[in-house]
Amino acid sequence: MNETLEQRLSMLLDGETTPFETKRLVDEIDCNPHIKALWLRMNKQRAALKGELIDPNLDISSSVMSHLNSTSQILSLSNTQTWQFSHFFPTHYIKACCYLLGFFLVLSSPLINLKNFSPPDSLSKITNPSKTFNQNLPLPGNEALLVDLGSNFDGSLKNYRMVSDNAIEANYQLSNDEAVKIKVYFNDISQTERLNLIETGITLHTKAGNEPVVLNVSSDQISNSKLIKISNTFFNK
Amino acid sequence: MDNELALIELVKKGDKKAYNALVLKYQDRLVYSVYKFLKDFELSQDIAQEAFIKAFKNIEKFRGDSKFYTWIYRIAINTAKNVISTKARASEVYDNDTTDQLLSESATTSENPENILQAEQLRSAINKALQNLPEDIRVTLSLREFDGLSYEEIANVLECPIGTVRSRIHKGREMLDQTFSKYNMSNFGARKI
Repeated sequence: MNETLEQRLSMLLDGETTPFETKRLVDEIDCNPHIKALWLRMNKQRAALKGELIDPNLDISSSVMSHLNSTSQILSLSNTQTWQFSHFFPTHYIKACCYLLGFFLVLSSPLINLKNFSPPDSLSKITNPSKTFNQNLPLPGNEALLVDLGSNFDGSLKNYRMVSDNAIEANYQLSNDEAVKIKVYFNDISQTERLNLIETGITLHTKAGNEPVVLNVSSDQISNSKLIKISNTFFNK
Repeated sequence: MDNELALIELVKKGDKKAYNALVLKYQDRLVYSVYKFLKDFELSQDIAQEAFIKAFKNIEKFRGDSKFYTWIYRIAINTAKNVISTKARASEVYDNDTTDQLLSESATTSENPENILQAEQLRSAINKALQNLPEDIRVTLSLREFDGLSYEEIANVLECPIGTVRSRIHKGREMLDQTFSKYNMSNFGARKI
C-alpha cells in the first residue's frame, strides 16, 4: 500500500496522475507528515539535479499558507459582520433610507458641476501630447457617460460598479460577444498600483482639467494590439 | 500529458491543500530564480513568498496557456522589480536606468554561506549518485528530468511498457533519496522511503 502511494507521489511530481488521484495525494500530503516530508525531499532532489537548489533547508510553504489562512479568516469575519448588519436593521428601515437618499439626489442633481470632468485640452506628459481626449470622462455612477464611453468602440455597457471612492469599473460587450473591462481612476494612483496594472491590459494616464485620470482597458479574450486600438478610440488623432 | 492543471483546478476551487503542494513543488526553483536576479537570499525568499501569495489571490487569472511556473515566475520578477524601484526612489536617484543598474549591482548579498555550501555539496552528491544508478534507471530518469519527456514519450523512445517507465523513475528517485540521508537536514522529516 505504502509502495503504491509513494510511486503515485512520484507520478504527481511528473504531472502524470489523474485528477482523482491528484486530489487523493493532495489530501495525503496534507494529513500524513511522512508523505509531506517525502514530497518535500522529492522536489529538493529534483531541484538539486537541475542545479536549482540554493538552500536544502529552505521551506517557505508554512509562512505562505499561514498568511493565506489569516487573510481568509479576515474575509470570513467581514462576511459575518455584513450578515449581522442586515439582520440588525429591518428591511423597511433600509428602504426608507434609500428613498430619502434618492430624493436628496434628485433635488441636488442641478448642483453637480459636470465641468470638472470636461475634456482636457491636452494629455499629460505621460501620454502622447499630439493627441487630445475627445471623451467626457464618466462621473462615478453616471451610467450615461459610461455608455457614451463604450460607444467609441461599439461596446455596450453590461454593468458597472464603484471599486472605491474614486474609481469605477465597467464591463462592456462587443458585437462579437467579446468582453472588455474598463477601470477609471479619478485620481492619480500609487506606484504599486501602477506596477500592478502593468500585468493587466492597457493603461492610459491623462488629465481631466487639472485632475489626473487613469484608464485601464483589459480583456481576457482580446489581444493587446486590439486593446490598444480600443484605447486609441478615446482620443482624437 | 501533464496533469498539473488538475492541481491548479483544485486550487481554483479554493483547495489550499493543493496550493500547499504546489508551493512545496516550486519554492526551491522560484527562490533560486529570484536569487539569480537579486543576489540577495533573504530578499529572494521574501519575494518568492509574496509571489506565491499574489498567485493564489489571482489564480482565476491563470488560464493554463503557459505553465504555472512561467506564470508565477513572471509575478515574482515583477515583484522584484517593484522592490528595486522602491529602493531606487528611496535613494532619490530614480531614473530609467537605475532599476537595471541596481539589479546588476545588487551583488551585496545576505547569503548564508553554510547553507549554500551544503546545497553545493548536495547537488554534487546527487549528480554523482545519478551517474551510479543502473543504466536503464539512469537513462529513464534522465529523459524525464533533463529532457522533460512524458512517461508515454519515454516508453516510445525506450520501447518498453509505460508501467516499466513509471517503476524505473520511482526506483531511481528512491535510490537518490538515500543520498539525502547522508545529510543532516532537520526540515526533511522522516528519512526512509
